[in-house]
Amino acid sequence: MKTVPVTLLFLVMAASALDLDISAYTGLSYPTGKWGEGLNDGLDAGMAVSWKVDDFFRAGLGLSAGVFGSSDMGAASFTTVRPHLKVGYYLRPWGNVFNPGLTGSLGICRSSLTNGGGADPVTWDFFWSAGLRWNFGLGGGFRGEVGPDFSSIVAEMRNGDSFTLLFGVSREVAI
Amino acid sequence: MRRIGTFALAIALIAGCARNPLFYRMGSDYYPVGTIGSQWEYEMADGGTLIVQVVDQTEQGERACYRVLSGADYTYWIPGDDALEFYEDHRVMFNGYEIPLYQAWVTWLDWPLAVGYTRIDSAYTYAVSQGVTISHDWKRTTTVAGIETSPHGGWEQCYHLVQDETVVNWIRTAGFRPETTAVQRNIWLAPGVGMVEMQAPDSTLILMSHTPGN
Repeated sequence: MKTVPVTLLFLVMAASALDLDISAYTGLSYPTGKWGEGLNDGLDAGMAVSWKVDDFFRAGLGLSAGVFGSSDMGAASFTTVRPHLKVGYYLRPWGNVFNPGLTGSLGICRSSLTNGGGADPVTWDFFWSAGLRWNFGLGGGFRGEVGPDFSSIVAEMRNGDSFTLLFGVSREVAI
Repeated sequence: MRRIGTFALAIALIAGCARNPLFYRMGSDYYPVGTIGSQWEYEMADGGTLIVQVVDQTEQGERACYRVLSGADYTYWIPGDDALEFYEDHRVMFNGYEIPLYQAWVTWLDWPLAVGYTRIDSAYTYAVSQGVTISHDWKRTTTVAGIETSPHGGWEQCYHLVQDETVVNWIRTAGFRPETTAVQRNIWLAPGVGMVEMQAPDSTLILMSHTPGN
């Protein structure tokens, strides 16, 4: 039983050394390929908590979601929920105006389609994304970030690819 | 080793689930009438064959559309990314004359389809011919019953449609009563092919061959 508080103490001490980057982002998604021909452009949003391994490299967990409507503004709706691992590498972390970076995500995606009062069976598939970022300071300890993402849901028989233009806000937290 | 086993089990569970290629269905054309030259040859249950062919592009009801020859009759379709439209042309014979009752473009299906999707279309019109009023009451309900393999032919990932259509024509003069026709059709649409089977009380069609157009 003594090991439990010791472990907890160790975890707290270890956590105190953590620099976390908490971010939230949103953007517009554009499906590419035939799967999205009946859909309109979509909205994407998510948040992530990343550990700043060093000044350049971050790794963490994220959860994002997307929604698309049918292109005739009709009743169809396609939604995704994507828990994922996220990594980022930034080239000029000291740059207040221009800090370019690369990001990547790997996770699973829950896809769901509804139309006309019906719903197709939900599917879970792997997904990945890669993106470019322009990271910049916003003041008050916040940083902003814009950039495109290309993501692919690796599904059976046909992938669900899309481009997303993202805008995000993040804040570094030391615990 | 236990962790590896758990991870492998999770992967197997995800990969081993029943086939559900949602993106494949969303990206497939389930009624490809937008290519001139496409041809479908059906076997009819009572013997014989029915050949359906996309003949050309024309104008009907003030809209550009594809003309499809189905046996000896023409039908008119407008395929779109979000919907498939069909030209409804309802007529009735009265005293040796063909009386037009209802002509309109009506959405036949909204893309992408989903299990449980329901669409209801209806119209109530009338025409006056030779001093007699003829009323026309039409209603069609289309429901996607499921994703299935077609009963004959083994086409996979088909959307099974159930279509209930009721028509009430009434020649409003002495000696005539409302004439009601109610039909239920079961239709299987295969990805990239279109209708591969139709079961109706008066006819059953099974696709024998399909030739995509150019």
